[in-house]
Amino acid sequence: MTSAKPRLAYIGLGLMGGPMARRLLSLEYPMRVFDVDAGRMAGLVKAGAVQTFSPIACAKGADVILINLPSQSAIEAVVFGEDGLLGSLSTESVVVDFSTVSPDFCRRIAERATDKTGSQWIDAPVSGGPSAAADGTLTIMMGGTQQAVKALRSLFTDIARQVTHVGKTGTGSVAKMIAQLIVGSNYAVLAEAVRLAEASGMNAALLPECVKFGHADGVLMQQLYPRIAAHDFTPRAYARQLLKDLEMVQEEARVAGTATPMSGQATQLFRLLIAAGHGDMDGTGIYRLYEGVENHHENRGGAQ
Amino acid sequence: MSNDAYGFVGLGAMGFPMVSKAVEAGLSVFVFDTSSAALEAVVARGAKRVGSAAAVADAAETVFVSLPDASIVEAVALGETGIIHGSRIKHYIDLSTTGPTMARTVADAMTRKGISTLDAPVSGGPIGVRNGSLAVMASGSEATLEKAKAFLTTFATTFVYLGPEVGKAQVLKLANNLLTATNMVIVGEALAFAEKGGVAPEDLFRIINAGSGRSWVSEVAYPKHVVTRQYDQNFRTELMHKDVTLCMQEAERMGVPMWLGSNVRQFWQFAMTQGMASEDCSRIAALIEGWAGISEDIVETAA
Repeated sequence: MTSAKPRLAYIGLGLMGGPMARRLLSLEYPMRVFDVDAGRMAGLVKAGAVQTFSPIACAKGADVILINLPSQSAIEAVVFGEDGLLGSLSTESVVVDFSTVSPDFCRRIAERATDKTGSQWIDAPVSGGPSAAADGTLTIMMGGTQQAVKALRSLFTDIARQVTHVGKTGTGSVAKMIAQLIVGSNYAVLAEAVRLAEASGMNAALLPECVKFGHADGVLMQQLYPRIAAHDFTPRAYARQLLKDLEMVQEEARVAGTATPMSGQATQLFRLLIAAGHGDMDGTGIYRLYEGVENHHENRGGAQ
Repeated sequence: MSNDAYGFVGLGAMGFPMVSKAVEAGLSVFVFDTSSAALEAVVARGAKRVGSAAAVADAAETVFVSLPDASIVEAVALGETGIIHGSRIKHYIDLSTTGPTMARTVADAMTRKGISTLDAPVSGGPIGVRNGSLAVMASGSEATLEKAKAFLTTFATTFVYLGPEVGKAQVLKLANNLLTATNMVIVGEALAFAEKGGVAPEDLFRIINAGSGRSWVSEVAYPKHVVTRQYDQNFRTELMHKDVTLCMQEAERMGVPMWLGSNVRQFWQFAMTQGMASEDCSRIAALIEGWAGISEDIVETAA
């Protein structure tokens, strides 16, 4: 793996995995791919990838196995399930998990895989969305051994403009989780800011301009707030996904023995939003909670 | 006009039955309210109507007020046609829940005019008045309390005197209301949780009320007004919000952190944005059940 490009296995070709795999193919990494949805593989095969039909087949002979999956149970199945990639791991292989998972889950699954096969495990959650994935401008935070991370430095800089080695395996997920705490809570904070601005009689859309270069300025104020002020709830990050992330924060904080009352409150508000049937709305839809309704009785369909 | 005449301003959910009780007991009561319907109703029962708060205090030595909020108390007590301008008044008793700050403001002004004051918020609700079982907590002039007792005992049985320092009774009352406002919400969450877990409300309350989780809310309010789906606690959501807000404002002045209390206030504020301001406060249970995805059908069946 010193000068020649490592042989890659890419498992999970969804919203993020698809463009990341395509980006690596364009840089001429040899790659085998697997996804439960064969349609997702077709486009990548055209771009030079080799299609496989199980995680174990995908990982066979690979130096680096890249995973990008939507849930912890999907990761569990891909690694340890029937025809799981575990069967193709060796002391020479490195697993890089780009998915967002709880640090606790990451540590447990990495330990199990490493104990059984002697492989390395790097948790490398990403931030930046599908367009940054396609452009190779993601932000990546990694946890893993110094040696494993160093060996893959050029692979990471090929897909990201910001690469941070946080510490041992699991710490990448800790950093990502804390980023989720901040972003998730800010959805709730910015939504109530928009509603308060409206209710107090100012043009809510002007706020980002008002606070530009001030202490309330920031990426979220300039990019997220305007969407809420425009009542644009087109899904980019599903509300239900934000809830899942925030619930993960609460669980990890409980395990770590620290209180998180602010993000805890945001978690409850997202739970309320999802209970009201808005799970498939963008996280900005949390604004809906603050719109209010005029008459409770009418909304109860006259049930008396 | 005899020395035994009493004055009363504010004939709302509490004031109306209070005056009715006093009149039924044979006391002479001069009354004023901005609602002529309420005035007519108590006059029909034997109360004597006058034209302003000041006129009430012209007619009686001992004057009670029972009003919805602090700013109204200030206007009625100290305003242009307020009680303070009355020629006969010697004792002023505020039965409202308006916070220690307003109680002190009014007491200071009254004292300068030679009027003794007592802040005497009550606990027990309109039902307590009708049953004659209200609890009165009082602070301020003990002489005023003694003067007021003949009137108050027509609907109250429990008296707790906290000493001459005006405002203490209001602090106590706000602490009590903080618990009621909190319990209303938290019992609602427990109910939704139990129902979604398949537990019948009747079973839930049987167990809660036999154990460490019980409160007036679980023993009386929910079984009577929520489990029956009558929602007839006769206390509006906006008043519950007012009480807990008042507590938060005083806590802010006093520098007392209210981690949970501030969230409880937010809850009631939120309930008001859901169109519930003038609904009975017990209806928040249905709001919480709705959020939990418990359908009206289940709720109606459970009733």
